Amino acid sequence: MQALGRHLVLVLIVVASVLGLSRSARAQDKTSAPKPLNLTAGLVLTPEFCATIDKKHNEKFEVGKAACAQLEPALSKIFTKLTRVDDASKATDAQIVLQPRFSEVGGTEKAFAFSTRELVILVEWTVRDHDGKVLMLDTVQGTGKRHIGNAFTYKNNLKHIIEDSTQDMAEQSAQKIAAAPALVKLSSAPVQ
Amino acid sequence: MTSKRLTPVCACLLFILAPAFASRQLPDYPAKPASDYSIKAAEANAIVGIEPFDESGLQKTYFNAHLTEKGILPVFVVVQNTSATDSIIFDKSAIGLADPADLSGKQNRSIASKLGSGGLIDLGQMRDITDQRENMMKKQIRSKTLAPQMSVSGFVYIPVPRSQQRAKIRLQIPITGLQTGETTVLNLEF
Repeated sequence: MQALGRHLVLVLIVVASVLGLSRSARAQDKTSAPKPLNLTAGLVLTPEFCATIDKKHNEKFEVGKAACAQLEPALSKIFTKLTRVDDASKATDAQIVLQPRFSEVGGTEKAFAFSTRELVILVEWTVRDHDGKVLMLDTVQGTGKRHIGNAFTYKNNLKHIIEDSTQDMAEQSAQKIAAAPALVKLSSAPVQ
Repeated sequence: MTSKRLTPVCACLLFILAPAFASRQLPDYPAKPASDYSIKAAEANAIVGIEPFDESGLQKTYFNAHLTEKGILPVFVVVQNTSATDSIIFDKSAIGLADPADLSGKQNRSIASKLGSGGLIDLGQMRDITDQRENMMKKQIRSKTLAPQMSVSGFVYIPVPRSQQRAKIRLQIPITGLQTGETTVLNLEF
């Protein structure tokens, strides 16, 4: 029985170190802040986009509300000026117009309260110039991981997994848009 | 006596390791240059290569499921920009089937209700098999602007009739030039 106990301790140490390593790897994945673009932009967040709710079985993921709260602050860092509008036709004074669309939302299901589950959000970005010409079409993935939680913590965990995945999506969006070759080129072009 | 003592130890191990097994990651299918695929089509600035996953073993390895039995054929797609100077736009939502799949019959009713734009499977409609769906979602090809010589790869999911031989499929993949704005449709038959 003593030998079994020692084996159990060894297994626990291995599991703990694997979890620790994966955490530190995730921390290293965080990239530096993107370089700002010398452009004015209109961010189109339509009421439909902000009201997007993904329903899976008995669960509701209010991803639209969370995304609309996080996209504007994340993207305003990469433009000279960012104006939020609810319709593309209202972004008349912007050099470029950014429009997001939920492509997919998917979450894993787990049986136990302590199990970690994942929520993945895919958002497709279309960036146009003021003439309506497409400058960029790209897809961004945001991921959040949390425990399912028990009867007391489930609601709070659900709220946090949605916030984590939409925040990740907003940060990834800023990185991708700031690095888009067509936008970098437009940003460095002399002002007419 | 020993088995009585072993029971809580085993239960404890199961408690710790069960989530790790449950969330195991399935491997990503490795992409080759688009020109290396036997089924391919090209236009001035792009080449598209595809590989249908008809084989059940491949489906099991990469999706942990026999998807054809559920009426879904995964097809791996590689889109490559062959231009030295111009970017191209690949729009996933514009992919479609030239001829809609014949999904008549009671056994195909479930898959016929999951069709999206272009006659392909809409993963958003798959609410009954969420763990598989999440893996399929991650492996799905994504819309992307491709800089010169860059490529994008991933799966599209095509509806096929269950428990019978599938007919020829004609997949249409539009490619748009970023500078010109002109769209060319590439046709692939398999």
